Amino acid sequence: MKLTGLQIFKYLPGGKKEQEANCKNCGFPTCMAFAMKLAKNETEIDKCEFVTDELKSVFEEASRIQQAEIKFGCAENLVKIGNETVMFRHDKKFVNPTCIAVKLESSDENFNEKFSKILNYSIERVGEDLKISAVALVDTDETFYSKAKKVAESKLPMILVSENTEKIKQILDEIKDSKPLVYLENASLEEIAEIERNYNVAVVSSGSSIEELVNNSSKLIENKALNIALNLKNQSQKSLIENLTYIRRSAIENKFKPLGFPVIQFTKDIADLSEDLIEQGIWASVLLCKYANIIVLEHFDEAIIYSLLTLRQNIYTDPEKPLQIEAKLYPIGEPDENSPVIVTTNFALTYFTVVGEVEASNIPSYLAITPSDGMSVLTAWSADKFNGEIIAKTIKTYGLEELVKHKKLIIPGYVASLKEEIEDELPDWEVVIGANEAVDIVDFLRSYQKQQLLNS
Amino acid sequence: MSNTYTPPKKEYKTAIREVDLNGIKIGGENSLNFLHSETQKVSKPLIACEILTNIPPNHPKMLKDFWEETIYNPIECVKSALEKNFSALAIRFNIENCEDIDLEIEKSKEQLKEILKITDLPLFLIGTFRREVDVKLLPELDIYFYRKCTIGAVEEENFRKIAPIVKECGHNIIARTPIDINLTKQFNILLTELGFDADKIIIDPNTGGLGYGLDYAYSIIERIKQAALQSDTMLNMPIITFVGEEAWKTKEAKSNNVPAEWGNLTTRAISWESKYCRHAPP
Repeated sequence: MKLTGLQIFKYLPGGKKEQEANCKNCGFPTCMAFAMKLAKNETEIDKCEFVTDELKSVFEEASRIQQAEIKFGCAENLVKIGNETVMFRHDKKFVNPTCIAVKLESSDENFNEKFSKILNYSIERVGEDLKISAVALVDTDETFYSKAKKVAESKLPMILVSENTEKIKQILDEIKDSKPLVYLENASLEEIAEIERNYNVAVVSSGSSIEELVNNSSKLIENKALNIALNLKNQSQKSLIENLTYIRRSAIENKFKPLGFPVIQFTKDIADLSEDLIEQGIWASVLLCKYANIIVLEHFDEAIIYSLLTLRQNIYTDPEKPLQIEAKLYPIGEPDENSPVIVTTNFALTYFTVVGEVEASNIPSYLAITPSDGMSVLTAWSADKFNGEIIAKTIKTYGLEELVKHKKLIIPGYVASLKEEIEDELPDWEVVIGANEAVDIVDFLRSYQKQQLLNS
Repeated sequence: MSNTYTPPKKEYKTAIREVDLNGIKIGGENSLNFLHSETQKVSKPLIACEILTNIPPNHPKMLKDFWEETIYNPIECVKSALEKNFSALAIRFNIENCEDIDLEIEKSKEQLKEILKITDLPLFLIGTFRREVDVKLLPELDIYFYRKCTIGAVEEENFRKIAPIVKECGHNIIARTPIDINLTKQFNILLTELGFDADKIIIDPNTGGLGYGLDYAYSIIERIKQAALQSDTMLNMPIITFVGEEAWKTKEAKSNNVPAEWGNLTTRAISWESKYCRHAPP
C-alpha cells in the first residue's frame, strides 16, 4: 500500500522539526507540500537533499506495485484490469471489475449473428448499464483477419487468440488503435515480448503450472515486456481455486513480481467441465470471486451473462460506499387508493429487504424512498438525513396526497420518535409506527391491513 | 529480484468446529474454502434438500413442475428426495401464514413423526423465521429426542424460550443474526452462557439474494471464517445459508415477464440459486 503524505512528512525535516525544515530547496514552500506531492507521484524523492535512507527504503517498498494494471481496447472503450491491493473485498475494496468476455471462433457458421448479440447485449441494474466487456476472437480459419477488422470497427474490446505470429502482426498493423490483448499460443517468449514492445499492446503469458508461469513471465520481464496477463492452462477442478488464490496471494501479500499481473482464465481450460451452460456459469462465478481478472466464456447465454454481471456488481461494490437506489416512489404489486404507504431510506440493502418482505405479504403497497445519502434508517436518522422535514417533503413531492385517500403513513419502528415531528409537517396525515425489523413487516402489514378493512 | 516461487501456503492452528448431524459431520477444516493443500481435513459443503410443508399460492412454477403433485405432500417429497440422493434434508415447517397456528403445530408434529420413520438422513428442522410462531413451534419439534436433529433458527429475541429445550433434547441449534459479525459472536456467547455446547451450534449469518445484498452476506461469511481460523472460538462454528429461500423469492427466479436480456427463465432461475453455493457448508 502506498504511503500517505502525512506518513512521508514524519520522515522529513519539517516533520522531525529539524533545522532544515521548510528549506524550499525542493521547489515547494514547505516539507508538507513536498510530502503531499510525493505521495501523489507528482515529484521525485531525490528532490529533497535531506531524505534519509530509512525513508527511501520505506518509500520504495510501499511504492512497489502488487498487481500491475493492464489496459486493452480502443481509447473510448478501454478495459482496465488488475491493480488489486487486497485479498478480500472487506479489507478495502476491489478495484477493477472482472472483464467478462465471450469466445468466438473466426470460422463460426453464425459469426455475424453471435457477434451482434455479444456487442448489443446491455442490461440496466441499480442504475448501472451492464455490458459484455470483450470478445475473444480465436483464429480457426483464413477469415481471422477480416473478422478481427470487423470487431475492431465495432470498438468492442478484443482478445486475439492465434498460433500464427505473422497473422497477428498483419492485423496489428491494420488496426493500430484497437489495442487488442494478444494471446499468441506456441510463440517464443522473445517474439511475444517483441510484439508487446513494438505494438504497445498487452500480451498473455501462459503455463500449465504456476512454476511454468513464473518462468515465462520472468523471461517476458527480462525482455522488457510490461503489459502481461497470466493464463493457467489445463487445470483440474480441484486445484484451480487454490492455484488462482496462490497467484493472487503471491502478488498482493508477497509482491512477487513474476506473478504481479492480472489473470485471464478460459472456462475451456477447466478439465472435465461439462458442456452444460449452467455448470459453466457456476464455474465462471467462482472465477469471478476467486481470483480471475478476465473470464472467457465458451458460450453466450443471456441468463448466464445476466447472473454473472449481477454477481460482479455485488462483489465489486465498495463496502464503504454502499449502493444507493434512486429516491422515488416505488409501487409494490399494483397498489390502489387504499394501499398502505411505507417510508424508508435509499440505502440499497434497506430497500431490497423491505421490498422482499412487502412482496411476501402479498399486500400491494406504496414504498416512498427518501433521499438519505444511501444511509440505513438509524444512521440516516442520527445524521439528520431522515427527519420530519425530509419525510414530509418526500410524501408531498411523490404526490401521495392524491394517490391514496387514507392519509396514513407507516414509518420504521426504530424511528417512532419522529411521529410528532412528521405530523407537524403533514397536519392531515396520521403517522403509524411500523415494525422494527424487516422480518416482522409481513406480520405487521397483514394485521395493519386487516384493521384498516375493519375500520372502513 | 528473486524469481523463485514458493507456494504462499498459510497454516491456521484453529479448525472450524466439527458438528455431528447424526452420522454425518460437517466442518473440521482448518483453511479457507477449497484450499485443499492447506487443510488437514477437506470438508465438503453439505447440500440439503429443502422441503416445505405448506406451498404458498405464489410458489415458483418451476419448483412445482419439478416436484409435480408430491410437492403438496411433505412425506412424499421426502421419499422423492431420498431417490434423488441428497445427503441431508431441511424440512421447513412454514406454517406462518396459516389461520390456526396451534392446529398446524400439531400437524407438523405428526408430519415429523412420519418423516423420522422413513429416513435416516440428517434432518434440519426449520421453523417459520417468525419469532412469535417459532417460540411455540420449535420446542414442539424437539420432542423426538431419540434422534439427533438440527433445529432452528433461533434469534437473540426468542432463544431463551427455545434453546434450553433444544439443549435438553440433545439437538444441534441454528443461531441466526442479521448480517453483522459482532452480533454473531455475541449471540454465540449468549448461547454458550446458557449452557449450550459450542460444538452443537451452527451459524446462520443471514443472506441476501444475488443482486439483493449478496455482497453483505459474502463478506460477513469471509470475515467470520477468517476470524474463526485465527482462533476465535466463538466464531468457528460451521455456517449455514438458506440459499433456496432467498433465491426463489427473487423476481429473477420467478418471472417470465421481463426484458429479453434476462434470458431463459430455467437457466436464469437455477443460476440465481447456484450462485451462492460457493459460500459455505452446508
